[in-house]
Order: sequence, then C-alpha cells, then structure tokens
Amino acid sequence: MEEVASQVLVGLANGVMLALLAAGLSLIFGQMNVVNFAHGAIYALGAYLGFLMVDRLGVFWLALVGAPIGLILVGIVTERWLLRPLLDRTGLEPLLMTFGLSYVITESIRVGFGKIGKPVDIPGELSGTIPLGFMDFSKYLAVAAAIGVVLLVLTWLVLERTDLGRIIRAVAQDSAMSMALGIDVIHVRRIVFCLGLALAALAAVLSAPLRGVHPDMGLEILVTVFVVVVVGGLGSFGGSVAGGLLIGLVTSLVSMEWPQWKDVAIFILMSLVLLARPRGLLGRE
Amino acid sequence: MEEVQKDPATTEQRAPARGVAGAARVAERGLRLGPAELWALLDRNPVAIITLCMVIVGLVGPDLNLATHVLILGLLATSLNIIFGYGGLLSFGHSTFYGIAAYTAGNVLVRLTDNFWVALVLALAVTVAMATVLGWLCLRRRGVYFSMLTLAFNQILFYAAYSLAKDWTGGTDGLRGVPSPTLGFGFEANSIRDPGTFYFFVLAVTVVSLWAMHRVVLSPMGKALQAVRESETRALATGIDSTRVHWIAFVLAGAFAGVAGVLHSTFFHFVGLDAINWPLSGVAVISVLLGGRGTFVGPFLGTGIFLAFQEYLSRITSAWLLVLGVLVVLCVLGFPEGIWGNIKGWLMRAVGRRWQAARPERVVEYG
Repeated sequence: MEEVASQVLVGLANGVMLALLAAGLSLIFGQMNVVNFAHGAIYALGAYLGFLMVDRLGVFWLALVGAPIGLILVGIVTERWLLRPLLDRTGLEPLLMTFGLSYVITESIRVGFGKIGKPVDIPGELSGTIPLGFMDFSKYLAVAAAIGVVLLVLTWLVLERTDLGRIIRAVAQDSAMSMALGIDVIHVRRIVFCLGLALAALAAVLSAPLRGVHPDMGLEILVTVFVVVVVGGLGSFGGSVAGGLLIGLVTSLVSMEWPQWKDVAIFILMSLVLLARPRGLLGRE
Repeated sequence: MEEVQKDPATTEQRAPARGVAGAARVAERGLRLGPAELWALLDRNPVAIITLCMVIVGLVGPDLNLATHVLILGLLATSLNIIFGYGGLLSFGHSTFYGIAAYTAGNVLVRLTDNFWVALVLALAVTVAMATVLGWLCLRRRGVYFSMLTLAFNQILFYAAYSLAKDWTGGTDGLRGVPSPTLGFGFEANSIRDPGTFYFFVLAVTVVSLWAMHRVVLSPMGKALQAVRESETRALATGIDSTRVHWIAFVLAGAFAGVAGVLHSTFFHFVGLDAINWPLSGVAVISVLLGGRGTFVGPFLGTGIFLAFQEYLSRITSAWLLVLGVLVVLCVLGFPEGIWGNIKGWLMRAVGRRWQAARPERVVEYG
C-alpha cells in the first residue's frame, strides 16, 4: 500500500510535466490549427539551453528563466517566417513543416552538443528527500511538481480571467469573427505560439535534473504527449491537464506492477479511449 | 493532320490512347514520335520510367547494394504515397507494416521453409490483418489526429518487437541468419545469391507492385480516393463512403509496405528494430515529400536522394540529416509539389504542350 502511494505521487509529479507540454501543444492547435510536430524537439532544445546555463553559470534558477526566453525568441522567428506563410494552406502543410523543423532542431542539437546524453545536477539546496512517514519523497521532484502546478494554474488564470485570455478563446472559437471585431489575430497567434514553447521549455528545464538531456529525448516525449492529447482531447486545456495526470499515473503504476507492459500500457489506454470516446475525455467535437 | 499540328491540345488527345483505340488513332494519323509524344507516353506510364531508370542503374550503376536498397525503400515510400499523396492522410507510422512483414517473413524463412513465395504470402496475410485492425482504429479520427495515432501505434509495435515479442524478433539483437530464399518454378536453389541477380529479382517484384499500385490509382477506387482528398464533404455527397475508401487504401498501402518488408529480410538476411522503428516512417514521409506527393516517380526520386545523402553526404559532414531537414522545410514552404512535380512542370513547358495545367496545384493523376 505504501509503495502504491509513493508510485501515485511520483506518477502525478511526472504527469504535471506532461500536462505542461500537452497544454502548450493544445493551445497552439486551438489557436492556429497547427499540430506542432516539433514540440518534442523544442522540448529537447529547452532542456539543452537549460543544461548550457547550468553548466556555464552554475545557477539552476537562472536556467528556469533563460531557457523560456531563448525559446520565445525561436518561437517569434518560427512563427513569422515558417508558420505564417502556411496558415492559408491545407491542414497538413504546417504539420509537415514542423516535421521538417523537428529534424533541423534535433540534428542541430546533435551537431552542437554531441550524440551522447548528459546529466544535469540537481540544484544543491534541493538534493535529499522529504520524509513523508511512509516514504522518502525526492525534495527536487516535489518542488518541480509544485512549480509545474503553479504554472498550470497561472496559465489557466490567464486563459479564464484576463482580457488576453478572453481574446485567445475568441480567436480559437472563430478567428474570422475576431478579426472583424478588430482583434489583431496574427499578434494573438504569435503570443500563444510563444507561450506554448515557453511552457515546453519550463517543463524541459524542470525535468532535466531528473532524466538528464539527450538529443533523442524530444521524440520519446512527443509520442507520449500525442497520447495525452488524444486521451484528453486536443484543443482543450482541461483535457490536457487531466490527460497528462492520468498518463503519468498509469505509467507509474503499471511499471510497478507489470514492468514488461510499462511501454505499451498508455497506448492500450489510448485505444480504449478511442473506441469509447473518439474525441477524447474532455474534447469538443 | 495539319489541323492537329496547329492545335495539339485537343480534347481528344488528352485522353490516354490505349489498346485498339490507340492503335486506330496511330493508323489514322501515322506514327509521330517527337519529344512531346515521347514525354506524353512516359508521363502516362510512370512505372516504365522507373523501370527504365532502375534497369540502367542495375547494369551500369556503381553500387548495386545501394540500388537494391533504393528499390526496397522506394517501394515503401510509394506505398505510403497511396494514402498520403493520393488519399491526403499523413501516416507517421508506415514502418509498422514494413517491420511486421519483415519479421514474419524472416521467421518463416528461418523456422519453416526457405521458399520465398510461402514467406511472402504468410507475411502479407499477417500484415493485411494488422493493417485492417490498425486502419479501423486510426481512421476513427481524421486529419492531424490520424497522423498522431499512426505514430502512436508505430511506437506500440516497436515496443512489442523490443520486449514483448522478443522470442520472435530477437529484441535488440534482431532476427539473425535469414537464409537466401529459393524461388521454385525451376529456378536453381542458389540463383538469387548473386547480388546482380538479386537486384533484378527485387526489381521484378518492385515493378509488379508498382504496376499494381498504379492500376489502383487509375481505378474508380483510386479516383474516389482522390475525390475524398479534395473534399470529403463533396465526395460523401456523391455517394462515396469515405471511411471505407480510406480504409481500403490504408490496407493496400500496408500490404505493399509489407512486400518491401519481405524484400528487406531477404536482402539484409537480418531484421533489426530499425525496420519497425519510427525513423524509418520518417524516411518514407521525407522521400514522398521531397520527390513529389501524388506522383509515382517522385517517391523513388526522394528515396534515391535520401539514400545518396546517407551514403555520400554523411562522409563529408555528420550534419547530413540537418541538411535534409532544411530541404524538407524549404520544400513544404516553396515547392509543395516536390522535385518531380517541378521537373514535370518544367518538362511540360519545355516540350511546349500544356495539356495538363503547367503547375498542377494538387491533382497530379499520372506520375
């Protein structure tokens, strides 16, 4: 029982990271109708930016600020020169472009940092564990998950409680009508694209000390995030969060009970959701 | 005669002249074979272009192994093109079927018999069964969801091959020692051990598959598939069952990817995890994209470029995949009809006949 409780906590903590990524992917899709295939590669780039800053500056918290800023710059360039020319083309073109972009980013990482993964140190003040009575919970994982939850809540507050959020939701619902009402849709899209990338960078930097960085980490996580958004419902913020937590939980529990099924379990879950509810748990049709 | 030469783009000449009707037309007008006619003939028979090029490559090319690999991966890319180029469904998991067929054929050849045809039939049976089930699941969602689902199912089967089905696949060690198959029908047992003979054997299988796929694309079912790609709503309104058409195309594409997989196991005598892993699916997408969606020559051209990069550019720079990624991005942004689509447009202008729109926007019927 204690083991189950500890796996639940670890699963939820990992789920928060997945939720951050899925929320970014989902926001970008809702806004621009673009599935960002490069989201995984962007995640890897964020992790490497974090690694670079920790390595050079030695302060983890600076990486947590610097990596998102770096990716926002990448996002501004990508949106202006690569995505905007494609927005009036059919649905698959932006997906294909980001597919090519994922190669460009992943291979740039490989050329710049080498093929072999690198470890990232846990910041000194957070090493060690918190005794919870039934288990010793990693102090760093707890803090990272807490930061992740704060970020998710902040994103939700921005979307639901601010004028910017109302505009974002309006554009997602009907971009032509929003434009007619005088909203600068292109500007809103750029903001949301950069926001999605910044969330990916934050998730990457928070996860880096737990798993290290590796050029191929992007695709591994991308497939999981795809499963999350299919289960949760693409375009729905709540769905991304629920899906992320659920997938994190399932992965964690299955790898404890039936380790040989740990890689396949989430896909079986996804198939079941597809059969019972093709639009995802919280998705709109 | 004079009249025809003044206005070559008559409606009558647009229609492909086949069989008796074609012979009658030749008898009526005499046989003219200028560059325009030659191009028209080749354009209607893209499989002939590929066959011709690959026969020449086989006879004088510098690297037979590379050429064989181009044939096998070209077949994989062409099969992806059936659903991607003609059906408008982007699958990121096409290596699933390639891998399943390669493992099945490898196991049959290792454990059961060394007859190629038995291995081919059994591998295709398994592949078609898998494609039917996965197609049904993936086609519950369209568009970008379909792409995500195919990638996810590709990962499942990768993990299955990696750990769950280790007894059959060998896990990370791969399936080793797949023997050279025998062909029966009076061929000598060792006849395809020689790389040259094996190349032409692979070429024969590839050409037959390409011909079959070309027939499918030209058939009513192929037209229905392209109609659904252009507008699913309108296709539905004309009575086309779009899900069914997509499903059939998905299974067919899977089956021909399976043929490529069977050739893979006999070519390398080894099936590793990279035969079912995602990067191979990515290679197929890149090949179709670079070469030209919805054409027959395009995917082969794209595969040739990819493998040439992998073989030669990688000797110069380790960033060859980076170059390829940049090419893909540029291609999507600037040349959506791909390299072959552009060459075709250029050739058509060069021979001065515009009986197809000079820059076909999306519909390219003949490869």
